[in-house]
Amino acid sequence: MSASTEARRSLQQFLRTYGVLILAVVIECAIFEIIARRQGVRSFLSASSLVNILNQSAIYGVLAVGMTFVILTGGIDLSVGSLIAFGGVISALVVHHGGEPVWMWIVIGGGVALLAGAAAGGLTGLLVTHASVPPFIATLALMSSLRGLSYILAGGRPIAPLPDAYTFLGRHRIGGLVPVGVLVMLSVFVLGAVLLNATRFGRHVRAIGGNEEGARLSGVPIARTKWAVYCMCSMLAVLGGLILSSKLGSGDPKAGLGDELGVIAAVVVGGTSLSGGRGTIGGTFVGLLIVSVLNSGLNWIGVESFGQQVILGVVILGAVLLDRFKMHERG
Amino acid sequence: MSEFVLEMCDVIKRFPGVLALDCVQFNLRPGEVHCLVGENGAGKSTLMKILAGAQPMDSGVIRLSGQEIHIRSPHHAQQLGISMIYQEFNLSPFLSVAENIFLGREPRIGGTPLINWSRMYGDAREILGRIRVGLDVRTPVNELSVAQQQMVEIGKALSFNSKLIVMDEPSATLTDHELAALFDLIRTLRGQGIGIIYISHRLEEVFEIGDRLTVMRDGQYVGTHPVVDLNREEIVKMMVGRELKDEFPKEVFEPGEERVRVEGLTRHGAFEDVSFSVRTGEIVGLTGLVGAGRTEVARAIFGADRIDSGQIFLDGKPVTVRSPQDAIRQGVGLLTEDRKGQGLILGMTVRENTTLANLSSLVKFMFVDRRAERTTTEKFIGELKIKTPSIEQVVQNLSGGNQQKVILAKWLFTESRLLIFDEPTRGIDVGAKVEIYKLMNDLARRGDAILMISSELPEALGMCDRILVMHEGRLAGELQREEATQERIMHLATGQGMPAGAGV
Repeated sequence: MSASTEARRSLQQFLRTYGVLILAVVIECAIFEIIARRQGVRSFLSASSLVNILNQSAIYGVLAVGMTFVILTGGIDLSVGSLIAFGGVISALVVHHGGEPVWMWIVIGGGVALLAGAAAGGLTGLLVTHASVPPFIATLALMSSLRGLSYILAGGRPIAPLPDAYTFLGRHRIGGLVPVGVLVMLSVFVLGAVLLNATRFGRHVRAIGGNEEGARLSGVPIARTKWAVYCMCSMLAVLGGLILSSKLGSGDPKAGLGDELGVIAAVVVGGTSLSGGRGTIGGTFVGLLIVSVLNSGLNWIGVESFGQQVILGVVILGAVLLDRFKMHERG
Repeated sequence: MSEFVLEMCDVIKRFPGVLALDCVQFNLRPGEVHCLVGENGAGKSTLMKILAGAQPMDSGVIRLSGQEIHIRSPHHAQQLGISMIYQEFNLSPFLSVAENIFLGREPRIGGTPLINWSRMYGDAREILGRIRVGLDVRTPVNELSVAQQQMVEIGKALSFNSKLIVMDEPSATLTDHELAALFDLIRTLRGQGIGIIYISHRLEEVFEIGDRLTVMRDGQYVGTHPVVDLNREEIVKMMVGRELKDEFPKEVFEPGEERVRVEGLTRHGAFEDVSFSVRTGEIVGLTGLVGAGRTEVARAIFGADRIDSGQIFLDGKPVTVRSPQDAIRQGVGLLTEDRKGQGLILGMTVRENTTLANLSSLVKFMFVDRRAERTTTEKFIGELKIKTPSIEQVVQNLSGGNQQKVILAKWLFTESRLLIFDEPTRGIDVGAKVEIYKLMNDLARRGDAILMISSELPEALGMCDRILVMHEGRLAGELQREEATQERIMHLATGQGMPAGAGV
């Protein structure tokens, strides 16, 4: 009985916190559907177009989960866009120079890329925890260095051709319907939510963001927790890079340029506070949907990309203002 | 002209679900110190927020020098000559004293946007001179002590030609010496015809500086009296609405084994060669002037700061405490003085704060066992009588006394057997104080050792079995409960050595 009441209570809690955001997604969809019908283009709200939206948001989604953890500790990670390229280049490089069997080299390539991501994240973590470098600066430095390193490793141009099997992660659809990338993203969201809500680690992350000194004096291992968070965020960014590289069928050192901003936007639109301590994985998912439905919808009804950027900016501002307003009402 | 500089009549303020102010009266004469007292939640802050223009009232009349006014905003209040000095100062740390005083109103050179520095420094000096404060007006305020920053705040208030100044718990962060200086300053202001509203939990201060006193309770106006007509018991009775039989319900227990001993504990620049012990069942006080190194000793025992030399023994065994984690594992808990900044994660719930320091005991497989966590929290809410609507309440919304209880619950859950209370009742109202003292008794009874840092001598005298006194980083002496008096403690705390014999 108590389990079901708790479930109901947490659902209520979720709706109270994110009801408005979910409503925003629904309204967005409705508006695009209406416009699409007026223009006589194909219906926006078809199953295939919704799957497409998820597919296009898979990469941002994977990154946004890691970013949510970082922002919850009160930090920020600007290096994720460069890590997308870095991961893709490394795995493409391995596969390009590897031989048979192709599958084995793809797995090795992915593994090496993830390890490299972990090393980058570990370095950020060390800089932040032991050298007290502000996360903004540490990750800004890494953003630049990793981008440069990706160009050097790739020799300045995309690494191609790659074997067909390389596109499994980015292009394959299970049963011809569900993209593998979407499954990966959904699993990352579920695991992230469990990690944040049900484990000691997740509690520590929120405690650190809420009040770092208070957490330290309660025996929370600050350095270890933050270090793990940066490692995780970087590895997820590399995972996103693997999906993108697989989708492109090449290892492109230009990939993910500027994506850190889009990812942070999704997290913030989802209600996570940039000052730390407050936010949820569910919120990030809805934030991601708002941003990706907007992008896809605008494409659908033929708004060109410059106009899209303007509208995205307005939506980010609107979401943050709405959040401020809600906080003000409560406080 | 009215006899009063300020009159607030029949002020009513409703918040959703509560009547925060129920027809409250308050008035202030020029050149008077009018103390406003009441327990937390009595409505003092709400009343002052209305006066400061931070909140509108639902009905009532406010008159300034006999004229009815409608305060629209904090800025407007300031222009009307109403100034607030909050506990947290509104100073910009890297700007100078003069820049802070005239922030936003800098004198200009003619009609240009350039600042007339010589006039600004001159005016700032003149204002500080009026209250006989000798500060270099070019000093950045972050280089000043808390007391000096307070003086700057007061100077800023005067620069608005304030007719009245509200001081909210101005003594909370001051040493006794600084407090004496503040009182001198208040007397100077009073002599210049400025009305002062003085809010404090410390009744000794009311008796020392107050002319009249207004008591509030549960949003109601209880009464206004000249301070000389009242004694301590009468004021407390008005505040809590009932007779408070015993302010310090001390119970003495037979001390047991030695729980903690420190030998030669030193952290250069903070404290030197400190040695003492606390046995189970004992409450030992650690007192001294602010800055004597008491909190620093506590933090060192708790592993929050490194020590340079010395040894800590727990249960007779030498231990190394490198971090709070180490200390917690050894059964040591620290209730910090700064509850909001260090004791709690304000944005988290009662449940999350209660279990934070010992979450690992609730982990099954990889996950926190929510059911066990709930049961645990509910158990402590019952035991400690924590007043909260639910275990999911965010602790930010609890009163000071209940926040302190949540922190205590956290340490009880770690099964701490040495609890260090740093100023356990600061900012907590009289009724809740007694509850905290009773809980300390309960802990001592079941065999916990308690080290209590306190600046309030009546509290230290009332609750401790022994009192250690520090002076400038060193232990100046130790007094048994029977021999301790305020005079003897002050004697030691001011570095005059151990008082000779009994006839001090």
